[in-house]
Amino acid sequence: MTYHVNLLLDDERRSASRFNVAMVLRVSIMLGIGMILLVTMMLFVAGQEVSMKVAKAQAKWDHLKPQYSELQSLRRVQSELRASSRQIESCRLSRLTLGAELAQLQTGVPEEIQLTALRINQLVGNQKSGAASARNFEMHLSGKVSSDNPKGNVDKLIAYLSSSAYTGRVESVTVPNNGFRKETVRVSVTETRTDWYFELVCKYRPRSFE
Amino acid sequence: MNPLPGRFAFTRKKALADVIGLDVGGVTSRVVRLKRIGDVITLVAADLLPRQMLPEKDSDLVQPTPLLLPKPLQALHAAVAVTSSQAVVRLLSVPSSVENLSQLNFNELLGIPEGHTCRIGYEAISTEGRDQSILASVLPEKQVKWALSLLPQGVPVPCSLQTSGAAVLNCFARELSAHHGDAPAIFVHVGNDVTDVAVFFKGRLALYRQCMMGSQLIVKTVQERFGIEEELVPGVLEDDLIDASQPIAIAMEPFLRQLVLAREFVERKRSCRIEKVLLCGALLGTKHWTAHISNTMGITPEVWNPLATVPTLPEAFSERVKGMESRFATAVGAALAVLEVDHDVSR
Repeated sequence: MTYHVNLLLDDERRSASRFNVAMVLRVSIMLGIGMILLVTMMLFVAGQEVSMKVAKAQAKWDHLKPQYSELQSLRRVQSELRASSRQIESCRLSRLTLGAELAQLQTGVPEEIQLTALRINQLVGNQKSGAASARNFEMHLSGKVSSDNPKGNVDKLIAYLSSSAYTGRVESVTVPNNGFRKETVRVSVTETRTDWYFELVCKYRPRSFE
Repeated sequence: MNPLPGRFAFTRKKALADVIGLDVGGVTSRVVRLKRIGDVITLVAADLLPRQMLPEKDSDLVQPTPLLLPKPLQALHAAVAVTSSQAVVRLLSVPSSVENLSQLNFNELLGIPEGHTCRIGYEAISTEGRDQSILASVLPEKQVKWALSLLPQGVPVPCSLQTSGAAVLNCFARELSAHHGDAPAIFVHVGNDVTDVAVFFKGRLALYRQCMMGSQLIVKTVQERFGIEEELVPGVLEDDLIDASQPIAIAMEPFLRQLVLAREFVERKRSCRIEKVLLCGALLGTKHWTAHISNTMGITPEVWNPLATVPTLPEAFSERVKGMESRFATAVGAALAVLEVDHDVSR
């Protein structure tokens, strides 16, 4: 038998647990504030370090800026010079070396053919779509061939011009309309002679400005 | 009946197993720590702490200094008993037909004047025939607040607050069942200003009286009679050089008369013969108490040690406690009330 007349009211009772909601909440809030302070402090320190690095870099930059400006202007000059050089080289490479062409032509023309005219045209323009500008050369040849096998001799010349034995730069050799014809010439009252005349158009591969 | 049987047993209220009993408001604060070790309630520590001044009924409430308990006396829960001359404890008898005790007008039953702010508690302790016995106690609200503010936060947390008169009954009941069986007995607990008298019959409380005199009255009587300093009174009471028995007898006379009346009332009502008087408390001049009670009642009272009612760990007592063991009945009773009630609940 116990005698227990408890005068304590329900709202006066407390929990004996060391881990009540209020305490956990309080500790959580304190930890949260602590974490925020810690993070803020770390960010502040990191910010300070970054500021210091930026200041150092700025000082270094200020020191190097004149040299950098000079370097930049030198680079600009170098770039311009390189462009000019490339342009000159490109022009050099795109031109047709006439001396060499004519020397080669001289060795390959059959003996039965006599050249009467040679004209080289140059057209500067775009290549096929999207390509760089190029020089387009066309060589117009006119000549006379003896009556013995004239067609064969002209074909031989065409074959030579198209081959690599010549310069190898000829893309196509064509005979224009009426480009191969014969003419009969009276050499005396009783005697006539038949001459064969031809015209050729040699189209060179375009020589682009690289 | 337990509403959560079987597998939900883990949700039952966990029994308190470690409680400090705190008796405050007297000349000293008495603290015991009782712990349930296995099935045995064991005294782990006991000590006397400095006095905490109880606020008087009409004075302003002064916030006391929170109690600082030494490590051996630290537990999670505290059962507080307040010793106050303004506390009222009554054993009421009301018809058994009254089922809802809250309908009773306790202010009237306990004689509390209008306008007094008090905390009233009660507990039905037995039913016999057409009557049921209710133990009721009253403590001024101000003293309740004061007692709670002794343990304002953290641990220990107050789990019980009783008047000392109600708390001490548990210690009486334990002593009775441990050493005297069902024999009718009168327990006298002498306080500083109030003395509790409880008569037990067949192990149950049959009568309770509060006598508004205590050891302080004896001290004052001797001091005034012989014109000596208060500090010298204990010496006068203990030795035989000065015969102080006459003035003490006069001072104790109202108490002794109540004691006789209490004995006669229970003997008549229960048709029994009471031959045991057990004495404890602030027994300044024990021989005078025993002599006068013996002369008046024809029974030699036994002075008993409340701390001996429970098994005790060897290092439980501080030096201050030695020789003061009989003052711990209220503190032990307050702790027992919680441990034993709680154990009943958990079972």
